[in-house]
Amino acid sequence: MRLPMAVALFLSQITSGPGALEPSRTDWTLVVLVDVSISMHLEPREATAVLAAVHDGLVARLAPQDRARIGAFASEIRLPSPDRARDDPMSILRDSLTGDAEWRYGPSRLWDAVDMASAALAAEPGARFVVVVSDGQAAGNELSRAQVARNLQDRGVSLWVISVIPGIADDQLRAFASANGGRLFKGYLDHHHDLDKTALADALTAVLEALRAGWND
Amino acid sequence: MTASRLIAIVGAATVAAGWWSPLESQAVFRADTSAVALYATVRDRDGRLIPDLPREAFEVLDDGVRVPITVFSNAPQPITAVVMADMSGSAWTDLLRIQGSLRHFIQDLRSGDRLRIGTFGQEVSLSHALTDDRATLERVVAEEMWPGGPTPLWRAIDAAVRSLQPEPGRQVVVALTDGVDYSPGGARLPPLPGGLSALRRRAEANPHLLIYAIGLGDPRRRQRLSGNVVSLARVTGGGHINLAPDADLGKVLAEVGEELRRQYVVGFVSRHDDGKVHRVKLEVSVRGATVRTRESYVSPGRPPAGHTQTARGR
Repeated sequence: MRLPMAVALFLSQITSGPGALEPSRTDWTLVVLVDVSISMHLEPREATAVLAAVHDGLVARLAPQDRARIGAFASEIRLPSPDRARDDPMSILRDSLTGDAEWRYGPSRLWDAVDMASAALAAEPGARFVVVVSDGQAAGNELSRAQVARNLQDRGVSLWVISVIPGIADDQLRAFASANGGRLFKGYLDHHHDLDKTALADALTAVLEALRAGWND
Repeated sequence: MTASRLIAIVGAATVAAGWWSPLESQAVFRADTSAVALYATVRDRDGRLIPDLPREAFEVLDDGVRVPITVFSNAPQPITAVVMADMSGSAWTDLLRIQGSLRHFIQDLRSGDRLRIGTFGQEVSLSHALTDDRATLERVVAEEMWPGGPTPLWRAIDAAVRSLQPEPGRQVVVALTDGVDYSPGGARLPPLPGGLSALRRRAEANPHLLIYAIGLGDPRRRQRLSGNVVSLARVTGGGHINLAPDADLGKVLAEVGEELRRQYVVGFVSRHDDGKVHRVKLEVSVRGATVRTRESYVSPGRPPAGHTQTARGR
């Protein structure tokens, strides 16, 4: 059907740009996982900044009908309940960065965390995504990478990855994300292993734009 | 000198008199806190293992006093072990060598053996669980070893020791390392609280623990196991060896495995109940043979007031 020019122009304007209205697209449900293990070289202050950047750069820019939870992992996997995430989106700060720090000293249960997130999304309607911010140095996992990939596919959940350390695990992460409907983005720490807020913000924006490009109906 | 000659094996643990087998012994150990067992290896003058000696070939001296042997076994023992591999920057070049050797060790596991694989560098990581499943262990070797970072050796050994504490029976930690603890802190792994001395106290008080240290440092760069690592291995009755860069690590691991399988367990009732450290000596009446076992043990009972030593590791 051919749309009148004015209507077509209106639709193109409201579906472009961050935070724009996105009529008639499928609702999204996301779990964003942030690696807070010691191999990320993040002091608590910097880890807090990463979690805040994830919230501001991705979760807060979702459409009103979308739902998201921010979780953290190291030797444990900490994911707030949907209700708690809705009422207090940054509850993960208290859940992961206050109190005993021993759990952050390793290992980084990346694959188990992705699997827990995909299981939490399995029953959700609409499009479902896991977004991971990590250095990719997975260890101490109960599940193999291959098993986690099978579970993602069975549950219809796609995986998107922001890598923060160049080189170490990028190839592995890129292949894993590509095989599961997502992509790898680079939000590298700088060469002093300090957080580069611009790089991370750019990566989060790129994830959001990629999601919009791939999942708008 | 062969690797087997360099590796000293020792052990001491509480045991009970009466019926006993290696697999069931530890439940009995915990039920009777008045008895002590020594894990021991016997070698001939050429360094070869001497298995199958009878009880009559051994004598136990408790603080110099001969005491009766109440428990004895020369049956092959299964292995319950954590192998901790140093992934620090100095061990970066050894990654393939370590992975290949671990794969051989995994393939050589026998019935009843259980293994856990850990790494230390950026983090201290332990594989998910003790297991005899070769596929799971090989997956860990392939997927979960990440070179780089400092050398949090004490934290690594401590994590391995703690992970083994719930396990019945002999507990073995094998550390593959360049031999020097280095934990700078900051945004990296902080040093182990209490440091080596705290780890040493815990290790000494755990009668079932054996620590082995295998040095992977380059001797041409004066990288050897530190005296502290060697001392820690000795206090538990474990062993140590410094390997040449081209030495066969897989062969050394296999020799450690064979030693552990052929250890004797010799039990006696302690003459003490003060919770303090006492000297113990195990002698063997075979010409030219050497017996290697822990040289001290912590007796059952409470230490005197003001004495902080722990008598039991669990």
